[in-house]
Amino acid sequence: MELLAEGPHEAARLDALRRCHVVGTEPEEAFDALAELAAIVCDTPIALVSLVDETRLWFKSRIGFEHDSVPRELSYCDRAIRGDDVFVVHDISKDPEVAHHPLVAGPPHLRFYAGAPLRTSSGFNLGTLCVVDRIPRRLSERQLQALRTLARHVVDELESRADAALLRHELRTPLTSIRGALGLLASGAMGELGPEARNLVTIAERNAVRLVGVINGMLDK
Amino acid sequence: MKVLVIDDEDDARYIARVSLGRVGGMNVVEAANGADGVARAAAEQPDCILLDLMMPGMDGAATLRALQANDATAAIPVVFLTANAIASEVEMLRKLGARGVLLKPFDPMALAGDLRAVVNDDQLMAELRARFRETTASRLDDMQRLLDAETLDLPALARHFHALAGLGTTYGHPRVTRLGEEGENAAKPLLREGRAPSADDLRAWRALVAAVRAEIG
Repeated sequence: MELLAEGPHEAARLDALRRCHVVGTEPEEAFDALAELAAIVCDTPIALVSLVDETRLWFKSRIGFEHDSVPRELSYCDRAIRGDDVFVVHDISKDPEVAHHPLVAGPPHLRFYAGAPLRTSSGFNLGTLCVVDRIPRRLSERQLQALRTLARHVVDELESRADAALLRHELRTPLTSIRGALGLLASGAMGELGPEARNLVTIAERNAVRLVGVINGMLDK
Repeated sequence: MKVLVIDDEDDARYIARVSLGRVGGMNVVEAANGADGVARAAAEQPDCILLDLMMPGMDGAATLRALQANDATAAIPVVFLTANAIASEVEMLRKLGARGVLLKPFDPMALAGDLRAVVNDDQLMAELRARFRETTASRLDDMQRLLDAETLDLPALARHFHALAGLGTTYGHPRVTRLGEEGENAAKPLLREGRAPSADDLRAWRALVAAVRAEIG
């Protein structure tokens, strides 16, 4: 059994995954469509957007697969994220290390795996876009190329989630302090202000609240 | 009400401290990161924790897991305060076991009230009810022992019925209150007149104990 990856790179990789704010969330059409395309192009019954967190593979999208996560150890996705290119196992039954894996030894009796690493622009492999079958398979060069391309689109989606989360945080954090400070002053909670100061603070607070509304309208879709 | 605010931003923590403390009348303690937050939670035993979601290093979700894994902090309700208000993530935070989710930016004059509402809401009641069911189960065991004893300690049994009558309605079991009153009312004249209970009395009390047990499940 391979040990789980450790060390500073793995910690940074997990941080990068967390920054996407995707693990544990509900299925989304954007990811499902890409997984579906991968299954169609590679002609497999199963396709997964598999995100490798500390202990498990968590599936943001799963076509033809019933589990929403599986343990990370002994998984091919864990191996695939250690490499740079598609990781392929034509016939899993010939891999003695994995032959006893519950999903191989028992239903759904997986026999074929091909996983393209989801490599971010910062160089972190967050998981894989993988296709899986119950019979031994080979993929053509064109199918492999399609899988790589689709994986890049999955990464684009993940990175846009991370960017959006960062933007929400970076806009709302200072606004929280501005709106909070002005609200406390305007309410008189910090002591009475002179009438003109109070008027100015009230104006500032009202506009801070307005800005919060505008930003909320733009960010939460 | 004592609240622990865990947030890496000094300014945000200060605004929360004033909003909850000066405006809301709460006793506020603070921590600037998740690890420190878990330690302070264990030491301070706050009534609830207001936890920022996006923190460097140990983020809010990891901090919640650490709080849940620690016997000294597992029972303290945690409310997330997040600038990342997308619905899918709010749903996920609830699934992680958060008592509630409040959003940044918040209204500083309303934060304490919102926090109280979340913490005191049905969830806290659910916990208190669970605790009531536990203590009632052991109380019923006691009553059973009293009823099975050679000589009945009638004052002790009456006290138990009285307690059931008093607590039932408060914790959402009005039927327990009625059953308790029934038991207590049957015991009162015997206590007053110093009479020994009959076999029928004992049978009726046993039935009441069984009925309370069935009611609380």
